Amino acid sequence: MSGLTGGNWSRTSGSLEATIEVDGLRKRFGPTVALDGMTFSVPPAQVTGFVGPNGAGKSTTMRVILGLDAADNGTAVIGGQPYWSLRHPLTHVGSLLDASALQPSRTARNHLLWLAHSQGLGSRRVAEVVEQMGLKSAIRRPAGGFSLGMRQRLGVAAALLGDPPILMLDEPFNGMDPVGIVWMRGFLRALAAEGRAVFVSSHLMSELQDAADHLVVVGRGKVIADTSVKDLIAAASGDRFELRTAERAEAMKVLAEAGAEVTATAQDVVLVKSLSAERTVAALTAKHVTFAEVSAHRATLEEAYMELTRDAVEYRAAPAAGGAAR
Amino acid sequence: MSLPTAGLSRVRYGRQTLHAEWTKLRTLASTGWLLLAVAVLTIAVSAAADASAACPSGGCQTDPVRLSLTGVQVGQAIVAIVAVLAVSSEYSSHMIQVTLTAVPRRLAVLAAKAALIAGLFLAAGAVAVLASVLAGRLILPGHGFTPVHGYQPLSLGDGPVLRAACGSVLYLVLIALLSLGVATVVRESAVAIGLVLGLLYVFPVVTSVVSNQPWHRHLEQIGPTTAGLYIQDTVDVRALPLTPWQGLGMLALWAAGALTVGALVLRSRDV
Amino acid sequence: MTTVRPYRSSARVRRGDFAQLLHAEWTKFRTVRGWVTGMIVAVLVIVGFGLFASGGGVKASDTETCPPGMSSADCRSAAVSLAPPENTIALYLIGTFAGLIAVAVVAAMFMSAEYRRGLIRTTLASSPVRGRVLTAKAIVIGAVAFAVGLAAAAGALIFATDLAHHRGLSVLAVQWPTELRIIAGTAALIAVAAVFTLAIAAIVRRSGVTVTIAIVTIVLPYFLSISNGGATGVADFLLRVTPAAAFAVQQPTPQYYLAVTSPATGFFPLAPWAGFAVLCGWTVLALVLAAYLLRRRDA
Repeated sequence: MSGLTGGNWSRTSGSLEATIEVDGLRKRFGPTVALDGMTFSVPPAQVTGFVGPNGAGKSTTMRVILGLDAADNGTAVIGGQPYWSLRHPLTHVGSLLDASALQPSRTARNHLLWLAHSQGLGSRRVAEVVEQMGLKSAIRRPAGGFSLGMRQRLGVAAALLGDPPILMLDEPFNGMDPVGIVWMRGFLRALAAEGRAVFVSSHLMSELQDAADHLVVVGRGKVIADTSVKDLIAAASGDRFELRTAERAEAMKVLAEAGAEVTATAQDVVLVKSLSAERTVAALTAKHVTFAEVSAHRATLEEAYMELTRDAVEYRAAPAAGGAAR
Repeated sequence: MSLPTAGLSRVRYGRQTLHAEWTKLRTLASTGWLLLAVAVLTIAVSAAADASAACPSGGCQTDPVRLSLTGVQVGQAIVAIVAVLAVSSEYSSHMIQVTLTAVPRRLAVLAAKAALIAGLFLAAGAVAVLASVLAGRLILPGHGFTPVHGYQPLSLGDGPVLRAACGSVLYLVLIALLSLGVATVVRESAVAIGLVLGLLYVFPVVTSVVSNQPWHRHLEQIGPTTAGLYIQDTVDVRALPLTPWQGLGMLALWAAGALTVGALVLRSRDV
Repeated sequence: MTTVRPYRSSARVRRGDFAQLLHAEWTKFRTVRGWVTGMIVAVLVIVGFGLFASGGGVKASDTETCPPGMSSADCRSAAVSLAPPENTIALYLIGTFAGLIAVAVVAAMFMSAEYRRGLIRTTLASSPVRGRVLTAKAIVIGAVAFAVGLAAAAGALIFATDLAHHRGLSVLAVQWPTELRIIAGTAALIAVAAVFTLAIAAIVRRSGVTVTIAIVTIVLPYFLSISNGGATGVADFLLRVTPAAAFAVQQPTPQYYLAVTSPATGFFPLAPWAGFAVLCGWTVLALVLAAYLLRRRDA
């Protein structure tokens, strides 16, 4: 999949300011290498997905950007400045790293209140974000009693307190129910449509499929791909198609002999790779194997991502023993 | 949407940070209860010490001011745990990440916490100490501490008594700052409070067994509680290893040292 | 279409109910490096302070003021009995207070760790009978603390006495039954204090507050009695009534007349096992309350 590494989007003038720029970050935790030359940018007015397997360095990168952890090498700047030098940082970058980072005995409203006070904002702003996130009914309850989904919403409310042009959310879909996920996707798109830079990390592709415009795919502390969602899917979908046939076993044998990679997927369906559609048809007719349909396969983002990160996966569970017939 | 680069004035930055830390403290129910406990415990123990003391007709060598301020030695434990929790609870709930994202200048956060804790215990300590002195004034004369034996009723107009009272309030504030520093370094609340209370209570116990005189004296001069409590002595002051204010100054050194190490560690460490 | 047989666990269960719970709690304890280190630190602290205190005996040269005709041995005994009060072997166990703090910190964390991030739910899911969980934890921490106390007390007495002899110092001798009582008593004291702290942690669920309560009730009364404030009345009362009374197990039998019998000279208001019984009483109370709350509360 050539042509996917390296940034290939254009910077429009005047939008350089509200961007996150990460350059050559390296960091080790003892013997473990967490970041190994992480380099990318997050521009405004779009949703940038930050995806990778568990342990790829997504959370560590975000913590380095926010100045919570120090990188051994490299820089991370917001509009050209390091985070710690920003005046009223929450009015420049709103972030949500850990929705449970709360004092359980304090009410949710008071949590938002002290955050507001730290930026010189007041209870009026707190009321506005509470309204915006639909938390009015729960806001005066102790934060420790919140369900995971509610905690996420509270965390997003906190990120929005300063009405920032940049939003950085670490796995915001965690713990959300289906309705919540759909709402969150729409919400992120709306924020980007207002001109904000939205930076969202996830390790599940399906969540980001309809939300993100651009993807930074990472693995083992490095950027593997930095591209738009459309390009990624197109690259993954190429030279692959589905064959529907009643004589699946014969078809698979013939095509394998012809040099294709064949996989059985649904009933009577074969996924064919590395062989063009015309040559497949030719091979099958030559051996008198009947087939019903040849159709182009549109990869899901999930397939594209699995393909890309196959080598970079850190933690792989053993395949389930025994198992159903397939 | 460009980002302003001019620095925020230090005063305003400090004031905002202080406001946020104050909001944190006042929205936790436990803060109020613990402050009340400091006062109640100090006064109760002081009164109990007064009530159980006796000055027989032959006279006694007891220091009535130090006796009536005995409660400070117990109240300081609650002071220590409040100060430790002010930092440790943020680490245990991971809220410290949120704090340092909202206020990236870490020393400003520590300074705000220190200023607030100092202010709170200035107030709570004043209540506790004044009430203890009042209790001593009321109770001691009935237990043999009469003018006949050379003991006037305790009065704040009396120089040494005023010095002991003000000094005791400062003592509590310094204990709080010492605890804050230790907690910033250690982060884990049980270990931090174990270290602080060990320093406060066990240090004097262990040094009491040293019979070698020069060493015994030096250890007494160094110990945070032994030196700090000289501020309460009004009898035989000249025989003390340090003057009362020097003693309190030694405790101030301990507190400053702990806060300095805490600041250095906070600044350079990953959160 | 084949039918799928109901799944049966292939895990081989070996032990009986309570024994497996005990084993689980022991595994939980020994696999946290910080807690094991804390217990080792407790031993080192007690022995270390014992060595430090070994310089507190009476020098042979102090016998120069002897009346003529008296043997040097008798003279030394007389000198010892008239010398500064801190002259019993309780001196060498002065580090018990510091070691106790380390043990209390570990015991508090052993219990309160369950309430962090909801580990208690995993524990109670694997062992639903809640009273048993508390008992198993108490046995584990008590046993470890007893071992710590035994090793530390024996070590402190042996090494400190040895060091003192090398330096020509001596203290009041005690009979071996008394010495045994002191060592076993110290171990028992530390063990029960650890269980007391565990119970408080189960009640309060916050480790910092637990350690504060433990230290205030166990160490503070002794501190009050030696800090020269004249508050001896209060200190005396506290040393009878609070768990700190248990330090009486460390007092040697007064074989010689000493001018002042006070905790500073190693003598406590209560007899040794009476004092220990006070600590045990408080511990039982705390355990009962802890068990009750553990059953009643949501995990």
